[in-house]
Amino acid sequence: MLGPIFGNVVLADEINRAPAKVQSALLEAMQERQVTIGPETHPLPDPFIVMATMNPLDAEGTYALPLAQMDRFLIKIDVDYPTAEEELQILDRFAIGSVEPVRNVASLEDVHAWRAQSRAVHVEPKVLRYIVDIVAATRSVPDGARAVAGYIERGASPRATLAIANMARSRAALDGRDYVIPDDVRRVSAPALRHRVGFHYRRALEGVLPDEIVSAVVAAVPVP
Amino acid sequence: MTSRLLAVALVAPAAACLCAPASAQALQRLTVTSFALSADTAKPTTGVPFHVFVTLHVRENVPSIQEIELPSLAALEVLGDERKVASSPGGTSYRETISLVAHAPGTIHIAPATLDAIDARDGKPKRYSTNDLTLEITGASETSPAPATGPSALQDFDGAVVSLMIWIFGIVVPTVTALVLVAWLVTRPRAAPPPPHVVAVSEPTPAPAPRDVLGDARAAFDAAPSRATAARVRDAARHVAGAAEKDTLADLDWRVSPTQPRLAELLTAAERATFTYDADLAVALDSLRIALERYTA
Repeated sequence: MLGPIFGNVVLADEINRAPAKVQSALLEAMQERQVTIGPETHPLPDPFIVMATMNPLDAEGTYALPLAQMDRFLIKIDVDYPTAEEELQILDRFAIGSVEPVRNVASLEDVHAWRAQSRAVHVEPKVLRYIVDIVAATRSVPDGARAVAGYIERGASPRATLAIANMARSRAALDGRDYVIPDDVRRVSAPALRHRVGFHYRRALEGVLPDEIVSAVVAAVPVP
Repeated sequence: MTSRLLAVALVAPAAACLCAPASAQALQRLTVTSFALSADTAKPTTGVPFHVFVTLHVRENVPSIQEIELPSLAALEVLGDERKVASSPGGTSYRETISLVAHAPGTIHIAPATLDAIDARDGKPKRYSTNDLTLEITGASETSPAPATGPSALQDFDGAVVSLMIWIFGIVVPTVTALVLVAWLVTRPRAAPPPPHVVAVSEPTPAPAPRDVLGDARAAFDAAPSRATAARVRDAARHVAGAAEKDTLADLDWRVSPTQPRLAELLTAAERATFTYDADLAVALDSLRIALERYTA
């Protein structure tokens, strides 16, 4: 019997509480898209999407993910406290006594179609260059962002370039366009870079947020 | 349109009362993310048109928004109304622009606009409301007082003539005489002065005005519409909009849309013509040509 990883959408809750071996196995599966058990190799289903959570507030008893493993994730989304209205909705939902059952909102065919639609979105060479320049700016910080240069220890990998291009295509498709504009790139850059850039320990000591640094670097790259 | 709007404005409160218990099946299923009422000025002047905006964004992609009730605008004259609905997979934006003019100074309170819809998040029918608005209408005459008339005006006129005579003979005539004397002393013939040392200085070239930059780009685009000339129009339009190097279309749209909607359209059309794929280029160039004509009209 195949394990829980053989799903289209896998939720790894509090991934930094899993031991390093479990993390390593999961992240290898994410890269290889297959699982080998003894002599048998089992391909993972398509699409295979992993969503993982980490609670940054309490690091006791956790195993921090290395940068190379974080790099496997397409984007990182910071989830802050809910707003007052959202918290009221939470109260409203839980007042019923039981959470409503999950409903199907899309089929696998829908997801495949969306993916094909996103891949068909055109990116002009100028925009591709803009993406490359943004990622390069995390490795060699331009003068316009000199104030934050000292906080960056390692720039983003080429996976960041691919992630930004793919995300920009998806954002253009969601916006009803079949071509990417610089706005799409700008909008997805922070989520695609904030977990891929290696920060100096001074950043945490001085309380500078990763997004402040990433945003300053992205803003220093001229729009084509 | 004006009479329809006036009718809507006058019957809006009554209609709201009648529609409130409308059956939920007739309502649209929407996830409202923003719903606001705003004006382009907080202190309109009597006789000068101004605009009130109703803006709504929902997560669903719908062709139209129904069940929006406008607030009562009976204290104002409605000059016109324009509705725009922009749908995309990312949601639908609704913007209604109501052109108004006030005829009497004072404070006007505009009640919130309302929307009846089924909340897509919990399936319950709800009434959403915008914020309300308070406008201070100022009179046009406050800045230009009416001219005086009658006997007091005649007395004022006599006084003004006397003051003028004193000013002319007491100050102007002695000053002019002194200036003429000084000028004669300075310019009287003397020994031949050395020839002046003339240095050729080129006149500073004035920076091209934004309109000129756009005019040149348009001429090039009209002569040979292409992605390259479209990009030139885009650069010029960005220049007109005061774009910095780091500004994207969204940054500019945020700034120019409320006051220069035609420039915002031009920027969007130029963005498309610059970055779209080859098969769409002809249509994009045509859209840009239309946007340019509308902007320069």
